[in-house]
Amino acid sequence: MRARRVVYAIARADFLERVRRYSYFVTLVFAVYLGYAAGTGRISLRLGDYRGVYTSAWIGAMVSLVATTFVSLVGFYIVKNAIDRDRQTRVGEILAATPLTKVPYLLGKFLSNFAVLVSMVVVLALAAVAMQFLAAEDRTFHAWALLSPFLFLALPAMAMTTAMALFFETFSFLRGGVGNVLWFFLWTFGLILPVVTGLSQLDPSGIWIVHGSMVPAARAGIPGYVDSFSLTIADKSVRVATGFHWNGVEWTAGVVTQRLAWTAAAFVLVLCGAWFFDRFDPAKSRRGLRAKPRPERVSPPAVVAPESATARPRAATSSHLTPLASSARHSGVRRLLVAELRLALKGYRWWWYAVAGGLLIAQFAAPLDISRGPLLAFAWLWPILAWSALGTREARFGTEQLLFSCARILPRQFPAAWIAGILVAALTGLGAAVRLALAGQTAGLLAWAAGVLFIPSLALALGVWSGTSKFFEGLYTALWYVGPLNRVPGLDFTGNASGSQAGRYALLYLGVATILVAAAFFRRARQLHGT
Amino acid sequence: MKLEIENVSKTYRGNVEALRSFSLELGPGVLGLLGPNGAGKSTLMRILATITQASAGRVLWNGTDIKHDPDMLRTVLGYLPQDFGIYPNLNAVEFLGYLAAVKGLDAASARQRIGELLELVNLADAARRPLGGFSGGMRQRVGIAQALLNDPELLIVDEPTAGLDPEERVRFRNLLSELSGERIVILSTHIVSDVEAVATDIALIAQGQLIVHGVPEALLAGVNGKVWEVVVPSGELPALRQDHLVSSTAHRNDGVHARVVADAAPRPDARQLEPSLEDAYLATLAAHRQRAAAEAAV
Repeated sequence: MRARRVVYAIARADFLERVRRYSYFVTLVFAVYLGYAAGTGRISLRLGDYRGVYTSAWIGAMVSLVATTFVSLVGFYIVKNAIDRDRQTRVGEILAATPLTKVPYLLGKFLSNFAVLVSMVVVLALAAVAMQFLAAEDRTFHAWALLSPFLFLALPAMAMTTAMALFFETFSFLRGGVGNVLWFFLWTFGLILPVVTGLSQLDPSGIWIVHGSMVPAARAGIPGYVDSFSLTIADKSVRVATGFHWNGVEWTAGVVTQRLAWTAAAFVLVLCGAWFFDRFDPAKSRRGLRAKPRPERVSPPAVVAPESATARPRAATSSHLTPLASSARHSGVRRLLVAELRLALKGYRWWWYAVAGGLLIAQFAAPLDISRGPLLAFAWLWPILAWSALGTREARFGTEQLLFSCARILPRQFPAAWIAGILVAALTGLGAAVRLALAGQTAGLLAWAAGVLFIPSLALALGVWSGTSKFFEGLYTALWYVGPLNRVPGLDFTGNASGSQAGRYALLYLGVATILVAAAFFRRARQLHGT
Repeated sequence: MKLEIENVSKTYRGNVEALRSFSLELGPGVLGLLGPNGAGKSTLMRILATITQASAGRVLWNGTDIKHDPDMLRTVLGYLPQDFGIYPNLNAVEFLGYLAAVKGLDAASARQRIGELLELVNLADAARRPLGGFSGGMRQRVGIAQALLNDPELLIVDEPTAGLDPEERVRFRNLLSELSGERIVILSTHIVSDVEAVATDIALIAQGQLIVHGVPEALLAGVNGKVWEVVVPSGELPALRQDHLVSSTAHRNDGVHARVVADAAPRPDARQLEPSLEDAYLATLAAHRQRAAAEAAV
């Protein structure tokens, strides 16, 4: 009884803390947008060139799949700060001094995070109801057919996403940016796992349950249909198979058990997380810190060094401070640039530099298409945490007041931080640039330069506007996966996949970079204005 | 060198008034800004440090409104906020070097200054250790050092002795006294003894309003002849507290020695004492609260 009350109290407090933030409102707006995108056909469930009539079942399945895919991806980043917030606010230390054990604490956090994602699903479900009446292709409303996919598909997927986010937070190595990047690949892996293994049970999103019901029905109902099935951000128009009225998934005991198994797996994951959770013990956090590639997770008072270590004879103060000449206060930006570069590149383990160096050498040694292709792509993913700190470092470490009370931040520190990010991109991708220059590929070189400017500009803009590094880490990883890695022209900011259009896209990225820096500058100016 | 605060008000979201028509004029010296928690001290500090802007009124530095030209003040400003962070993977020299670069100090001056400051705050031996391993007190001393990097003309320190051990606290007080000559130092705190030790001027703030501004002697004069010591059994202490303003107590063999601020002797056996700044502070605050309550009742 007491344990249940504790879990409830933690979940309630965490939930209230979340929903009273402005970011929660943004979260709901995002859910509304997803519903709108589904309703207007921007996101659609396709059977080749066709889609079925918008029956309750079709709309319910489609919108709930939007939830299990898109909300799963983004929701992870939204809720992956439950423990971190307690760490940052030091509430964790207070809790750690109480009889509270790890499992109720994590279960409370799990329920709170789950409730946040469920609220997004509820918004989508309401959008689905509205969508059927607005589309009016089938005026018969079947509540169960529309809502059951949310219950059986979306909620277990949200439970799994929540559990993963919490599990990542209990691991010091996965707590920060590494976890944010890894999640994107794990999410992608989760989508393709049933295809790779041929086991539809290994499908946290439930796409294959809908596939298993819809495709056979489509074979019978749509003449000439050949098994195509996709949930896409619509890039071409889709035709309505007017005679195809899909009645929905048959929720057999097997299917329901499968979905319940995912929910149970989520709980097991939370319990596993309790095994690794350090319970705000700074000594354990400190051990984890050494494995971290960036300083983000260092809780300032982590391991307290004994003051006696500095115990020299303490004489009364003799302030022999040499007065500063007024000319000493006007140094150039170069020193600041070096300091920003040091800040960007400090705090990594030796192997981080070794890998970055290895990728650089490989760019010089490999054939040109490999050098500017996969090698450059990986070289520009590796320093992601150096870039994601741009614009967020001050908020993350609480140095805003120290910095923002200094003179000429906008004309000096802001560009110095940005240029430091550019230098990181240029240095890590230098090999490809030299190869392109030697090969006389001017357009390729221009595309490279555009990439060098684009990456830190994106990081700075997202960082300054969102105040968190997660946004850039998630978005950049996704963009990197689609563009440089899967060579989608236009989205490949390295220019490798753009072929003869490389020069044109380079100019486009240069333009986007300019807009992003201007946006970041505007926002930082507002922050400095103190309004 | 002059800092003028003219009718400054600050209202936060939800119509929370943190400052109400606050006015003050300062020249070189140490101003001790005293007030209870939530009085508006930190809000005032942030406005003076150009971190946030006043909702109304203006702040002039040598005649120029800092709202229109904040960099003019920032160039000569040293600021130690109440809460601040550090970059845990940098050591003290690197961190101060970074902030020196941000403040625009040239390399040679910065190097010399950082060395001197680390000696001054007694961190020279720990200068090359990552800040992430520093204790709260050591971090606070790094904060003090960074505030002095640019040899500021206006030094604003918000609760600077929080987390310092008694020895370091005394060092810091001495440092402030020595620094105060040709600059304006604003020391915001609720620790009266810190102010007593170094302030040349005192401003008392409560509920966002300036209650008193003057030299410590003037504040003390207000309670001259009004501070008493009475000895009571510990059981009678609650009744004494209810009837009078008790500024401190000490348990002894013969009972509780209570320090009472009252216009007349609280008991026939009461012994008159020399007033302290803490007595004056508490009495002024109590009088202000009574006035405010009476005004609210009307």
